[in-house]
Amino acid sequence: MIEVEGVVYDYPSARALFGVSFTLEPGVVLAFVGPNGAGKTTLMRCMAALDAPAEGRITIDGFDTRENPREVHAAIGYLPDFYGLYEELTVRRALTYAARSRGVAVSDTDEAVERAAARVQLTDRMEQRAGTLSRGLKQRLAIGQTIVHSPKVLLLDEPAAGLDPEARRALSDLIVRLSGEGMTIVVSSHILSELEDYSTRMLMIRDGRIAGGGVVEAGVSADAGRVAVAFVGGAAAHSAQLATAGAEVERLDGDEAILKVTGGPEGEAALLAKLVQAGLPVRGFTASRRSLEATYLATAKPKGAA
Amino acid sequence: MNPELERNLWLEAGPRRLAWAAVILVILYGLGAVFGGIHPDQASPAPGVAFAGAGIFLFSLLWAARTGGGSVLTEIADRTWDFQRLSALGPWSMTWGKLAGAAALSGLCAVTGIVAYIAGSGFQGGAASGWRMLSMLGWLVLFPAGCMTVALIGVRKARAEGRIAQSGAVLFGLFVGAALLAILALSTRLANLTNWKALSSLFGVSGGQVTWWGETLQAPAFQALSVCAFAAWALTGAWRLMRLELQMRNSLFVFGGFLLFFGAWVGGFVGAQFGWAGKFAGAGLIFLVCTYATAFAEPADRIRFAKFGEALKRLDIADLFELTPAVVVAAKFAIIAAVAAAVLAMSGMGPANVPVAPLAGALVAFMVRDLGLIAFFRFGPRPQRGDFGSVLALVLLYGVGAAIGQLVGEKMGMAFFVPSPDYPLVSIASGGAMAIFTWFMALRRMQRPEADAD
Repeated sequence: MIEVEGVVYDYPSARALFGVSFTLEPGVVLAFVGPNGAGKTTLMRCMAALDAPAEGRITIDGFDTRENPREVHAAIGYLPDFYGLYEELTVRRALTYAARSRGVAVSDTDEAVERAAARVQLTDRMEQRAGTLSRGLKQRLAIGQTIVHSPKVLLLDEPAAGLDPEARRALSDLIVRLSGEGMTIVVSSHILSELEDYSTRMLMIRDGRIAGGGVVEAGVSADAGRVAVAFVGGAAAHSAQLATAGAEVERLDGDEAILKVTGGPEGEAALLAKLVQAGLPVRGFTASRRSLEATYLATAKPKGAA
Repeated sequence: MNPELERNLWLEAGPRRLAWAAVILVILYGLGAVFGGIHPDQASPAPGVAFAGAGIFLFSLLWAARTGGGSVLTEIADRTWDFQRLSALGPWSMTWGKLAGAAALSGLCAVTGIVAYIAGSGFQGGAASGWRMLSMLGWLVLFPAGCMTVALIGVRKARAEGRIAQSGAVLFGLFVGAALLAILALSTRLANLTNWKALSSLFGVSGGQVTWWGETLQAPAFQALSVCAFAAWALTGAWRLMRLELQMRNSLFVFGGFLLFFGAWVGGFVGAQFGWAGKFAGAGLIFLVCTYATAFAEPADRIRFAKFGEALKRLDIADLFELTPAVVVAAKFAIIAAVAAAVLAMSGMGPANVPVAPLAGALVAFMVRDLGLIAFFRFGPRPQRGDFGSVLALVLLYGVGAAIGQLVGEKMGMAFFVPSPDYPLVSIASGGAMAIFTWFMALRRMQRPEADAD
């Protein structure tokens, strides 16, 4: 659905992207992470065919952003980090304009408007002027305008910035629903715990380059080959016994020890039996789960680090 | 309905605004009728209504121009421009939808002004009032479309320089640019060569006749058709720039077509006594004016300029069609016209008392120098760059330099700083030497790396 090949982007003062490449399959929700100034917004604008890279090629739904920018525009919905609304228009008119200007047929416009309003939970505010909405509701309207034409690809740049927890939860739910309908979604955010709720892949960018090995699995996922074992009295108190029992300790994390294990479920059962036989006070034994933040921190190397 | 037109109508021509406009118009026309009727020499209220109509038309024209430019600049200020750029509307739909929608109310007021002016001015109907009406309608398209074109140029310039386009800055640039070009275009020497006096009298209210390419034509008809033609070009300019905003590619054929049209239009006014050389010289002078205008209108995009340089080295025709700056096209037209005028003059098809060939050479040398100077100031590393430095340097060279030159060496001294018909070879040598120097300095400065924006 999205192919990015060797994209280079230059600002007058500096190069922002250095040969960025990755591919995304349809239906993926990509968490696009990286520190400020890494090039996330620049790459998103290139993907949205709003800026043209100096080198490289981007195709969205088979359309080249340089050769067919208008087809790309029709295929995507893009919400920039700083956006504006037509504050004098009512919610209904704002969504109607968005639908019509994005090529929705006149006969389908009312239905598309109602559907978009329902998706962002604004159906009860259709006649309210956009300028009178709260920040969270404005954000919902902006997202509603972005998805009103049911784009195949949705690019959201820091969509949760400034939202209260309830609105963030609603946004997460919306992204999950849209993903379930087959939309390919790219979301950039600094709030990794929030991306965790809906992301299926993660791409890290740092200093204009892909970091962490490209597109990787994201979300809270089973940390293959590892189990988290909790002990009465904390893991550190039993480190010597663990070594004696022959357990391969990856790290100690408060009450838990993360142990490496091979052999799948049978291997895990054998390890548990071994720990119990060694007299260790096991009070919890679960497959290790790795958060997006842990993945990010594990793959991110700070500037200047070897 | 065009969605962009519909949205603009929602905002611009709502029932309340329409009602207010109607009330104000009724009051103004009423005042015109009352005061026109009470004047002892005027038994009829018609002249007063015509006066009110003319005033309303002029005010609405300026209002329409403001809303035409504002239809883009307010989107930038309100951060909705990217949303619009992503729409499925074609560039033409976007252009006319914005213009017609943003200028709907002002246009409506202007149309009432046109009708009142024509009806009250004592036009006897028929062709004269028809041409006048067409002419006024032409202005009503030309102003907003021209302002939208300028606004889009401002947007592109600002983006290339890492700024956000603002209405005030764009308007200021428009006024300064128009003033400088008017001074240049109305200079006596240029006026003599292009028969500019005949051209400016064309737009007088009195009418009369105009001779164009040897044909004697009715001035009102010629004026109306000319205004409509330029309005069409202004619309075309806005559409072409809108294409670029929507990330579509433009080649420079349309701009070349405009230059040819403009050159032919001006060339038609050059008197028969100047021959074909004079006509090419007249067209060349207009190309020269366009070269200066485009040199400032071109975004100071160092990256695009570097790409153009690379395409030039590779002789990649496809890339060159896309990347060649408009100023290069205008300058080429000016040089070709100058060469043609010189060759024709040397073949005896020009005026005997004007040294067309050396003067054309001097003009070209100074043009190349000035382009180097403008590039030096506009394409340097930020923040030491901008249009103001270029304008100041040009004013100093042509104004102060010429004055000092005249003090030191009279006409010959002046020829070092201004293309001179008396000492054209001195001007060629001086202009050529300065052109080499300014371009050497400009290219050096353009290759200097930018400091980080932060």
